[in-house]
Order: sequence, then structure tokens, then C-alpha cells
Amino acid sequence: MPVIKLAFLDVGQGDTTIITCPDTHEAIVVDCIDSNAALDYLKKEQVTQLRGVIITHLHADHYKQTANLLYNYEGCEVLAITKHIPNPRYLKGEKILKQWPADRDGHSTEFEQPPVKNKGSLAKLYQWCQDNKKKCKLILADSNVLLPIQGNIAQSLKVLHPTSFDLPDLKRCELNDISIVLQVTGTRASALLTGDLEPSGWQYLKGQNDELKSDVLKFPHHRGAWDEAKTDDLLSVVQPSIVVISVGSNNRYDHPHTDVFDALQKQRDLRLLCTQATDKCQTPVQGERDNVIVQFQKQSVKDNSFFLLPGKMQCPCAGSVIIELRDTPVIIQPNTAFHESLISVHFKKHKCFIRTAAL
Amino acid sequence: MPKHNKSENITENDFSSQEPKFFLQYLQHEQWGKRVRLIVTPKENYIPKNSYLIDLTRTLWNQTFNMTNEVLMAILGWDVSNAWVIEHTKSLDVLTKFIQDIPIPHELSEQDCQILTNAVLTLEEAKQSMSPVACHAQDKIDTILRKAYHLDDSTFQRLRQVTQWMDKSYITLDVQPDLNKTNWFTSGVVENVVAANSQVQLWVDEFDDIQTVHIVPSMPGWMLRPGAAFLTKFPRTFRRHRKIDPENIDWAYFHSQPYMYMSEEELLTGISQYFVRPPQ
Repeated sequence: MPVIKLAFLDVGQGDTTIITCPDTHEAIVVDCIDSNAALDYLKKEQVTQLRGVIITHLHADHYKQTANLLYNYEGCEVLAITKHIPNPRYLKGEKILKQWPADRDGHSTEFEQPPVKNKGSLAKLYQWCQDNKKKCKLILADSNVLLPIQGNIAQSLKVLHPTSFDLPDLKRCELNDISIVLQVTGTRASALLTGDLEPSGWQYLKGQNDELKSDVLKFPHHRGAWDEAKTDDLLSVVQPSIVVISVGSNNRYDHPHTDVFDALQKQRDLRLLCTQATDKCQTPVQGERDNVIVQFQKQSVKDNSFFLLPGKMQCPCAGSVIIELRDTPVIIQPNTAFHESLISVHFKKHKCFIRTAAL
Repeated sequence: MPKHNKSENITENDFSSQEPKFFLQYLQHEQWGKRVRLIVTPKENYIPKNSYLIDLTRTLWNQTFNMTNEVLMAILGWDVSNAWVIEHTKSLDVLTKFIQDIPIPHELSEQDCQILTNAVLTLEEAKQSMSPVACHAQDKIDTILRKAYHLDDSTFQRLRQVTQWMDKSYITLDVQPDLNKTNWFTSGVVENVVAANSQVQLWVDEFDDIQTVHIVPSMPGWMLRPGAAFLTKFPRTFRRHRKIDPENIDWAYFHSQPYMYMSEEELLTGISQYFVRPPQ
């Protein structure tokens, strides 16, 4: 298998993850809430083939800028979504949104009653689908459904969740629980991308898959029901050496929760990388923002790292996280010494740690 | 007329002449389908696999140009000719009509021709190895022909990529987005109309702050309604600075966003119809 590069872009609250294969200049984007950031990164990586964009689930903090990306990068081959929108042929007359109960941190309320701005994102996506019908593909983790993405990079990708078998049961859960879960494998190291999966969905994923052990875990990012015990269970099965949390400083979901930090701290040889710092790291975290950004700008000049100017209320911690999946996972970005120094100087109340074993 | 044969059918007689031979090499790529390139060779025993032999004698060009075989090989084996062939490979029959129209540079001096001849002979001796001598000879050909064809850096790099197309599967001929031009697709909503100041306040996707612009005659009338959703294109510098430059807005790019009359439920239903289970 070729080396695979994973980038968890620092886009605030939500996900924009880019999988690239440096040998073939291919890429797959998983969720997109900042198309400008995604395009900048694709350009930096000299990507010539965007093999597909996958939306893990239709919450605005995962699809918001997908249409912008697709319209601004005309060469994208596939847009893939799982079957979490009931097909009208099978569910005629059923209320599409009402069948999914609101999740515990309430962010599906934002989805159910979006302001005109969020509705605009959906309208754009609808327009793109209309214009590009042949590029719209369904993703399911069923063994008889092939991954609808072409190219060498597709061989590094495995869809683990949801299966059509589980979908009827999952309808009783939250929309987060049918997030597409992907396992990405490089030369030997692997990563588990979990979307917004919550513990109820995790049980289904665990029940269907024996091989969930992965070197890198993209932590499902809402507080939801991830208490310490359930986080322990997740970590004990996946056994990651690196956990990435894509989080916004100004998120209103109390994410990441203290229980998650507590569970993570119990794991030996684990490196935690949060894209942004929150008030749990420094109160108020906004007070550190400007100084931290200056540090990042200097560092990006020094080591040519990928840096995005964050939004007004956002303060980076690890910033954009880039990991290469070789025989073992290699953290390309952030620079360890820089990150460690940043935490110790600016985030006095931090709950994370840096250990050398995973470096 | 030129004739073409599949390589399996090429006979020894086809190589009786010492004239250069021209091959169109086809490659079936798993993702890209067929690719084709022009190969010029004087070697009698060199027949690339999956190739068509284009039996073209240099007489096609002799009538107009007084060149040595080596100069002709340098030109026809170079990036411009290769791109020309690719451009016209929709049909082999059509291609053979076009091939004699390959653009030949007119500005080659005697000294240029001598250098090209020596470089081709050097390359032939090196048998396409990547030895320093071969690389040096190729550099000489590149320098002379770039000048003769008046190619700027980007055009040359593009043509070279096309030449390398077959060996490097990731190279695409699709138009790549030019991120520096005024072509950044985005959208927004009219937040407020401040008629007293002749201003409109816009919320723009991916911008932090509300953007204020002046009402001008070229602004579409429907934008004077708060809540109106629009699609537009900006220079990416606007996005990079997270700020619109009001003096450089092209209102012709502003269009009312369609489908905003639909409820979110209807939009999702609409999207869902495009994502169906593939046939087993």
C-alpha cells in the first residue's frame, strides 16, 4: 500500500479532513466546512485528481461548504453520502428530519431549523447534485456494495459503517450515529475516521467489525454521551497512538468534554492533538488568540507548515494536523517542540499532554 | 498516403529504409482509458508494444523544409508534436491527415540545426538512458525548440507534462482551477439595506464580518431586499483577507440563489433522489 497523508484542517467547529496519496497526487475530502482551506491544501499538495468528496452525515458542521468546494474544484469525480436520507421511493410521505431525534448537545436542532444561511448551503448542494447527477454515489458498508471511488487512493479506504442491515435499527438513534466511518490504511499504519459517531452507533460499528484497531483516531467530536467509561471502551478497542480532535474555540457544545480528557489521559503512549484550544485550556482562550497566531505565522515561515488564519473567535492549538501513514504514523505537523511550547506558555489550564513515545 | 498497422503485423520490410519511423503508442490505462503518444525512432528493431506504425517518410516535410533526419526527429519527437498528435487522435484516419500539419518552427538557424543533430545522435547513442550525457543533450533540444516555438514557462511545463502523461498516471489534462483569478464561487445573503447611507450589508459565506457595499446602478434590483440569497464570484483575495473590496465588485456575477423557496425537507428529498443503491 502507498503512503497516505491525512490532514485534519483547522477549520473551527466541524470537520474538513483531506486524504491524499503523495505518490499519485490523488485526494479524497471527507466533510467540508471551509472550502477555501480545502482548496489551499489541495493546491499545496499538488493534487491533480480529487477522486471524491464524502459527507459523513448531513449536519451543517460537516457539509456546509461542500457545494462551494465542488463548484470551485470542477474536477471532482464523485460526491458520496450514505443512505441517511430516506429514499422517497421507500419512505413516501415520511417526515425526513423528524425521524431523527435531536442529539444530546442539540446541534441537530441547528440542522432542523437552520437560518437562511445554512439553508443556502443545502440549496447549493441540491443544485450541484442536479447539475452532476452521475457523480452522486451512495456509500454503504455492505460487503456487496463497492466503494464508488476510483483510483489508487481508493484501495487505501475501507467503509466500516453504516450497513444497510443496521440502518433500520439506527433510525432509533441520532443522526450522528449513521456517520460514515472510514478506515484509512497507508503503508502499514491506519486511521479511523469516525464522523460524529456516538456511543449507540459505536456499538453497532463494534458489533459489525473485528478489526477496528487503528494507529490514529479522529475522535467523534460532540460531547453527546461520550462519558469516561464509553470513551475508555472506544480507546481500548481502537488502541490509537494518536487522537485528533477537530474542535472550535467558540463551540457551544462543551466539546471536548472533561470526561473525554480524563479517559485520554489514562492511556499511555498516546498523543492528543486538538486543532483549536477552548476555554477548558485557558480562560478566556480568546485572550491568547493574537499571540498564538503570531507564533503560528512565524512557525509556518520557519518550517513551511500549512497554516490557515483562523476566524475571529478561534484560537489554534495544534492547528491543522497532518499525519503520514507509513509503517507507523508520522506526525508531519504540528512540530512537536513548537506545539509543546505553545501549550505550556499559552494554555495554563490545559488538559492534554505530550508524550514522546508516539513521536 | 501514410499507412498504419498494428505492431503485430509489422514486417521486416517496414524497416528496410533508414528513414525515421513514427509510432503511435497506445496504452490502456485502468482509469484513464486510452492514451497515445508519438515516438520517433531510427532503430530498425524497436517496435513498442501496443503500437501503430505510421509509415511516414520524411518526404512529407521535405518539400517545404530542408532539414536533416535528426533535426526532423528532434522536432517530431518533442513536446509540441506530441501534443499535436494527442489533440488529433480521435480517429487514426483523421490523425494521418493532420500529422503532416504538425507545426514546424521556421526560425532554426544552421547552428541550431547542427546542435539539434548532434543532440539527437547523442541521445541515440545513449539509447534513451538517463545518463548525464543524455540529459545534457535533451536540455539542448529543449532550449532551442522552446525558443523556436516561443513557449513561455507555463506552456512548456504543460506540454512536457502531456509528454510524460503516459508514464505518470496522475498527470491530468483537465483544466485545473486557477486560484488567483476572479473565479471564486461563493454565496451570501443580503443582511440589511441602509437606504439613508446608500449602503447594503451582506453576509458572505466563509467571511467573519458583515460586508458593507454601496448601492450602485449596476447592482441588481433584487438585492435591495433583506434576506435575498445570492450566488456570485469573487477574486480569492477577498476570501483570503476575509473582506470585500467594494471598489472591485463585478455585479454582473451576482445571481439570485435558486431553490431558496424550498423547505429544507424538500431540499433533502430532492438531494436524496440522486443517491440510490447501485444495481447489484
